[in-house]
Amino acid sequence: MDVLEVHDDEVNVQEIMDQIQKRIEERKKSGVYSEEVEELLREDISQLNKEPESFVDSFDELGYALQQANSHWHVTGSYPILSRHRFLAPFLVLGKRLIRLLVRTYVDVIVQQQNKFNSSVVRSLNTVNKILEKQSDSHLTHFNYYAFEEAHRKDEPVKQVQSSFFPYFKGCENVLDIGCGRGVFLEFLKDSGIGARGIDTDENMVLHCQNKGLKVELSDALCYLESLDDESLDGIFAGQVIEHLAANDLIQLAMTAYRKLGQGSYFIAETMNPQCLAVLSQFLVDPSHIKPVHPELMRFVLDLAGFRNIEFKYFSPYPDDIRLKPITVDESLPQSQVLSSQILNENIEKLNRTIYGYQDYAVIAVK
Amino acid sequence: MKIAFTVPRYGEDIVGGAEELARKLAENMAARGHDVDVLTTCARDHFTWKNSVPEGFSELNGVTVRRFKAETNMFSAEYAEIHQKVCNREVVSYKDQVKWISGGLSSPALYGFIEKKGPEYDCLIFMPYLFGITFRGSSVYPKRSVLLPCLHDESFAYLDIMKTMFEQCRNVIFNTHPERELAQRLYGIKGKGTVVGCGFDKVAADPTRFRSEFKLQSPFLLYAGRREEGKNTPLLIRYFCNYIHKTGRDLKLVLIGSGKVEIPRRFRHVVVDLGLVSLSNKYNAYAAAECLCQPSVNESLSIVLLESWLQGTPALVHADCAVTRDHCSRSNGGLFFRDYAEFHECLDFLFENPDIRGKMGGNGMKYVEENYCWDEVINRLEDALKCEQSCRTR
Repeated sequence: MDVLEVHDDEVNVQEIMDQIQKRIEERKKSGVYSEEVEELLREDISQLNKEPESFVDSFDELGYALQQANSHWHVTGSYPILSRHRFLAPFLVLGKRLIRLLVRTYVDVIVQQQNKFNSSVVRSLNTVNKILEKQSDSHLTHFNYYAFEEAHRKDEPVKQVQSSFFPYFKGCENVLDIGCGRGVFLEFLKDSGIGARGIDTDENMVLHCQNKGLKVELSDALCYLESLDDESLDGIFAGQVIEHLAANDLIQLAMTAYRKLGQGSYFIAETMNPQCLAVLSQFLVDPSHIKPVHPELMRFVLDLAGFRNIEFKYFSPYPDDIRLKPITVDESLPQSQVLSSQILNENIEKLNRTIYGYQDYAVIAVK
Repeated sequence: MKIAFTVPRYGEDIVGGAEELARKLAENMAARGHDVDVLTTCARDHFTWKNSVPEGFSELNGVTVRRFKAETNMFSAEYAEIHQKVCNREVVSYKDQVKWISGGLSSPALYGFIEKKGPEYDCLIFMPYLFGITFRGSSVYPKRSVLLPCLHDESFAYLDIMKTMFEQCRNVIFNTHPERELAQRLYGIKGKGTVVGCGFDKVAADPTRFRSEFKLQSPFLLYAGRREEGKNTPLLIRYFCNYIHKTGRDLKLVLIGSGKVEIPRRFRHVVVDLGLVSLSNKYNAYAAAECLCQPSVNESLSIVLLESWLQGTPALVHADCAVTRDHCSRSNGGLFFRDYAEFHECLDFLFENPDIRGKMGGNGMKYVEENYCWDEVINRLEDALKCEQSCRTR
């Protein structure tokens, strides 16, 4: 078989590989790829695989160790007797078998005791694990929030909504984005010359943001806020965060945020709008949601914390193709029928406002 | 011509390069008007060789499939001991080599059939080289036997029994030139052997459907095939995670195929394991991918590489695999890496030069269309089967 080669004036793989080799040599000189690159790579990966000391990771580790224990708890005293010796093999095997026969009575007793001990230990550990699993439901042990966000929260609509908050932070130097996710809003602020940093509890999100060059830390909102000096922030933004908080934490967040903000600074929280009924089914899609937050509850909580000028903005109306359609009113019909059609359309509009209204709202408050 | 293909496992749902090659060659020979039988075992799983399909004969796409009971001695201590020695390239006696290859997979019922009915066939094709049924089966009527080894540069290829088998068969059919050169180097079978390869039909694919079905928005690198140490899948995952960690590039690695795979926890959002997918989704995946990566160094043809080229997708292969590297050099359709630095720079090059990447995909497509169209492949196979050179009497 004569292989027909493909010649291309623009693409020559060998030349490209030569270019790549040259680039590697240059980069090696500047210390990018050292001579022991494979060794370094192994170190990097072991670093990447290193289990952070969080509850979630410890739980995974425990699961793996238990799986191993369940597979290996049973020990046995018998194993195949072999010999590699070409000529003496039959005699050696016979001798070894004889020795095993003689000591079997003593070995078997120890093996039985060992198995009894192993089985009781493994059974106990399995029971403890079950109890822990029941208690850990609220921690969403195996939920990958980064992947979930990527599938369910598209960047473009998020950008569109968040662009309207930009004027409130104009000229600010120290804005905190709580639950910054993939860093869409932080990028916005950074590009506009506004000093900002973010926190998130998902390490994949944090890694993603850090790779984009954003100042982001892995931290819980309340712990992080507590660690800051009072009146040290000139803006706080929390996009799609408050619905993940229990009532007590929400109140504490409002009060701590008030203490940490400077006078005249804005606190903005954006969330799903529970006044729109269709949103409630969307709310259930995310297993980390705790409770939808009604605008009136937010007003009360922020007011209690000391904020003033509390206002609301509504976003993302359901598109027309989802909303209920009004009927066309034919003016040539008898007056009573025209009136009925108008009433029907008013009712359709009321239903649309209740079922298919705005999907999100933001509460904006000033210290 | 009345011919028989002898292959360990056979069926439309069997995953494996040699098995797929056997089925395609058999079906295309039957379509050309030859009387084609397949002699195979009742096993579907190559880890246990458990007989899970009934014995007897059936017909599949114009080919008569005759199944015989498989036997294995793989789980005995004696087999394990010899296997360890073979893997470590220790000296193993010829007798133990025979014991080892016969112990892996054998089928006395299949040998009995060949003994009895072999003379009725013009040619008996045995593939791949590593199994007892190939070694023992081809020794029944070596004058009628043609070997299609799918040879790799691995410890098993260096055994004396392989040299005997390659020498005694009437002819040897290779998938590529580098494979033939390897056999000539190992067994000194100068002048013997024909390169035939495999044909590929262009299949219409829908990349948009794949992306929407599996919710993939980011560009991605594709790995298709069995996921195991021998195929270098763990190496690819390690390199890829490191690449993403260092560059933060918006890129994913999508894995399709059988076998378990371990993904570092922090990278589960960028390494997407889809497992076994339907045939149509496999082609859709080729078309949707920005690049196919074939990190295996044990390829005698690499069907996935050629299939993805046919969808216009460029490739990144391991430089230590003579076959895939040769494909890339001859086609100008892909790059190759030997270590992490090369992997990193090749990916950077491919993603920073989308025009060249597209042209490389086009070159790959042209290469497959010109070299691997079925008409040409079957012509070459017919010539190879008629070939009487290096005949030896039984």
